[in-house]
Amino acid sequence: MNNNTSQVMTTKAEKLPAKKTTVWQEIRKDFVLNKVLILMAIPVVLYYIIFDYLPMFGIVIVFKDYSPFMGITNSKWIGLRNFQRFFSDIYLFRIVRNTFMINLYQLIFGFPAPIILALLLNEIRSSKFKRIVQTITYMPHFISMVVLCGIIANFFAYGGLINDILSILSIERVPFLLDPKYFRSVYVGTGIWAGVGWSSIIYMSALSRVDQALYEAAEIDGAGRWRQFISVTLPGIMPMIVIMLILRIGKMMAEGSQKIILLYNPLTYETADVISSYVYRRGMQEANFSYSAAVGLTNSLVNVSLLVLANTVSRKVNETSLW
Amino acid sequence: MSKKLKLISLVLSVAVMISLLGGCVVPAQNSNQPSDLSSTTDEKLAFPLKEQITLRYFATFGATGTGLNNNGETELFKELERRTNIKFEHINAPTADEGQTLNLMLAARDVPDIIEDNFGKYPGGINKAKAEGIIIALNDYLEEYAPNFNKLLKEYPEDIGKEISTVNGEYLNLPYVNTDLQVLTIRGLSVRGDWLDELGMDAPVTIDDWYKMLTAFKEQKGAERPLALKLEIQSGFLGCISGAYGIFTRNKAPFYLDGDTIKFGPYEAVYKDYLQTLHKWYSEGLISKDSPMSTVAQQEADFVNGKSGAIEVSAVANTRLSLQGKELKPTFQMRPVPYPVLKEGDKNLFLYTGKISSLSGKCLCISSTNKHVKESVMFLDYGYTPEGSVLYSFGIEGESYQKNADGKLEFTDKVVNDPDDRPYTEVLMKYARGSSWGSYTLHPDFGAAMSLSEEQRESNRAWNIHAEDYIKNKNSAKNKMTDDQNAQYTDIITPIRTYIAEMFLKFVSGQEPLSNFDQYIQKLKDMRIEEAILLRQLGYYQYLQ
Repeated sequence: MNNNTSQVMTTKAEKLPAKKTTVWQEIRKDFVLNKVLILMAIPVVLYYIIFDYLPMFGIVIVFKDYSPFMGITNSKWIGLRNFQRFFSDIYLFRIVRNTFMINLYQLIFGFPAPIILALLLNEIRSSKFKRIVQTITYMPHFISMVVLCGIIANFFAYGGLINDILSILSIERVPFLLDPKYFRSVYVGTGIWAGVGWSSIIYMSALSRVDQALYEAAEIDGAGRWRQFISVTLPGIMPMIVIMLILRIGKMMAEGSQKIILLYNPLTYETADVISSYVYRRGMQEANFSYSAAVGLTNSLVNVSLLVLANTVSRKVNETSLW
Repeated sequence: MSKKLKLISLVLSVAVMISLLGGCVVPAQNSNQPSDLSSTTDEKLAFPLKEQITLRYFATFGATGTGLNNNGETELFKELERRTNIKFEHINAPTADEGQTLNLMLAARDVPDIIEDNFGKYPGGINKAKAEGIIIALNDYLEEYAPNFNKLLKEYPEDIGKEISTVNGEYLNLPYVNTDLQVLTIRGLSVRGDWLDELGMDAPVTIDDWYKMLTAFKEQKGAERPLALKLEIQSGFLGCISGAYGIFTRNKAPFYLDGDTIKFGPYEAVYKDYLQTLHKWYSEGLISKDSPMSTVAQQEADFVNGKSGAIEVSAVANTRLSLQGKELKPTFQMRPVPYPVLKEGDKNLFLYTGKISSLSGKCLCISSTNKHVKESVMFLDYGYTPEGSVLYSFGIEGESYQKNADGKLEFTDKVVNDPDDRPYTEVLMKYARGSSWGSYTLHPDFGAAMSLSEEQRESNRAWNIHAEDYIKNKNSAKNKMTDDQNAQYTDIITPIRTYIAEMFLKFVSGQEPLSNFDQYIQKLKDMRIEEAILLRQLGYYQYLQ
C-alpha cells in the first residue's frame, strides 16, 4: 500500500517540473486545482508524519542505554557499544547466512509461485471453478500465525500426518522439524502454501488490465494459446513482476521472527536461527531495547541499500523502476 | 591479550574476596544514607488508619479463573481495605503482559504508589529501577514501620536477610516467606501407579529402575512416548534425572554450588554420562522424537490418555491430572515418586524447592512518588503479622477457612467442593493469595490444609525424601553482582546459552556423536565459560558478605 502511493506520488512529481514555472506558483496552481483531493490526503499524510516519521527519531536509542523511565532524551549515551556487541557476536555469521538463505529460497521458489498461480487461473474459462480455487488458496492467509504454525508442527511431527502417509508408502519417517536439513524447505514450502493465493491477487489484477484487443489481434495473426501467453500476457504483467521483484529484493535480509520462533528449536538453530529470532532471544527476553534497535537499524540499512541497488539495476536494464 | 588480562584481574579479585572472607566479617554497609524520617514527632501510626489514604497499586491479576476482573473485586482486598483503612486504586495487568504494561506506565511517568512486580521485564531489572529513582530502598523504614518483618530478618539473617538484599545491602521489595518444610519441594516426578501395580513393579528409585520401568511401559502398556516431557536442556523432568548424576541442569544457565565452588552443569565431566543415558532413552524411543516441540498441554494430555507413563508436575497439577485421569479410566492412579538416584542409598540434592524467602514471584515495592511511604511500609509489613498471614494464606474466617477441632486452620467446604468443579487452588484466589506470590508469610497450617487429597499428601512425602540432606547441602548458586559485572557476565553467557541448548539436543538425538564431547568442552572454554564461572564465583562471594 505504502509503496503504491509513493509510486503514484513520484510519477506525478516527475511530471510537474516539466513546465517552466516557479515552484511556488506550481504549488498554488496545484492547490487550486486539487483542493478537495489535497484535503482528503491530509489525514493520511498526518497519519504518516505522526505514526511513522516522528517515531523515527526514537532511533537514537541505539546509541543509548535506553530505560523506559528515563525516556529517550534522558537515557545515558553509550556510543557504539550496541553495534560492537552485535558485530562481535560469535553467531553473527550463522544468523546472517540463515536470514539470507531463507530469503534466497523464498525468492527462487516463493516468488514465482503466485505468478504461476495467477497465470494458470487466468487461463481457466469456468468462472465458478476459478472462484472456488481462489477462495481455497486465500484461506490460509486468514489463519492466525500461531494456529498456522500449530498445524504445521502437527503435520510435520515425527508421528504426524505427513510421516504417517510416508510410512504407509513404506518410506522411512523423517523428523522434519528436528533436522536442520529440512527446516528451510518446510519453512519456505509452508510459506508458499499459506501465502500463494493472497499474493496472486496483485497479479490477477494486472492480468485483468491487459488489453483484450491485443489477444484478438494475436489470434487473427494466427497465434496459439502458448504464443499469446508469451507475446501478450507475459509482457502485459512484466512491469508488475519487476516492481514486486524489486520490493522483494529490498527484503532480502529481513525475515520476521514470529514464524521462525514458532517452528524452530535448538536442534534446528543451525539453519533456522535468523537475525530477528536471535535478537528476540537476546534482546527482548533481556528487555534490552537499545540492542534490538541497533540490530534492527543495521538490518534496515542493508535492506534499503539492496532496494536502491535493485531499483537502479532494473532502471538501467528494462526501464521499469520504483522511482 | 586483553582477554587474558581480564581473566587475570578476575582471578585476582576473586582471591581478594576470599582473603576478605577469611579475615573477618565485614560490617554491613547499609544505613549510611541520611534518613528523612521525622518519626519522633509522629504520633504512632496504626491500622486501621485514622484518616483514609488512597494508594495506587499495580499488580498482575492472576485470579482470572474466579470470574472477577481485578484485585479490587477479591474478598482479600475488600478485607484489607476494611482492616487498614487504605483505599486501593487497582491497576491490574493480565499475566504475561505485566512487564509491558508496567514499562508503558513508567515510560509515561505514571508511577503507581505500590508496585507488585520484580521488574523482570525492565531493562537492567530492579536494581536499575532503584538507581533511576523509580522505587525506594526500605532499609530506613523497616525497624519502625515493619516490626514484624524486621523480626523475621533477625530470625533468619541468612535465608531472608542475605537472600533478598541487593549487592549494596538494600531491601527493595519484601519477600514471600514460607518457613514450613512440608511444601519445600514444590515440583517432582509422578508415574502411573496402576501400571506399576499391574506390572508388579515397585516405584523406581535408581536410574536403572527408571529405564526398566519406562521400557515396560512402552512394551507392555503401549505407551507411545513413555516420558512426557519437552526435550530441552532446562527441562524440569530431566533436571530430576541430572540431579542423580550430581549436576544441575534445570536452568538455561545452570550454575550450582558444590561446597563453596560454583560449577556449571553442562561443563562437568559427568554431564557426558548423563547425556549417554538420555541418548540411550532417546534412541530406544523412551523419549519421543517429537519431544523437542512438545508443549505442557500435550504432555498432560498424553499422560492422562495413557500415551505417557511419567511426568514432572507441581503438587497442584498432580491432583488435577489425577482427577482428569480417573474420569477417563477409574483405575487410573498417579503415583508421585522420589527424585531418582544412581545407586540405592544415594541422595539427589537437586530438588525443585520453594525457598524460605523468595522474590522470584512478584513482591511489593514502594515507588519514590508515593506520598504515604510510612503507611505503605506498614501495609507491606501487615503480610508478616499473624492476622495478615492468615488473611493472605487462608482468606476470611467462615468464608474460606475455619478452625478444626485441633485449632488448626482448614479450608471450608465452599473452597474445597466448588459447585462449578473448579480446583480449590483457583477458588482460593478469590479470598487469599494461597501459595502464589506476594509479600507475606505463608501460614504454617497452609501445607497441611492444602494436602487435602491423597495425591498431594503422597507427593509431599515422595518428593521430600531427600529434603533434609538438601537443606544441609545447599547447592543453589546464590549471586549478587554489580551492574558492570552483570553486563560482562551477560555478554559471555548469552551465546553460551544458545550453544549448550543446541549441543544438548544434538548429543541426545545422536546428530552429534558423544565422542565429540571433548571438542564440546573445548568450545565452551573458547567461549570463555571459565570467566563466566569466575564471575559467578565472585557474585557468590559478594552474596556471602
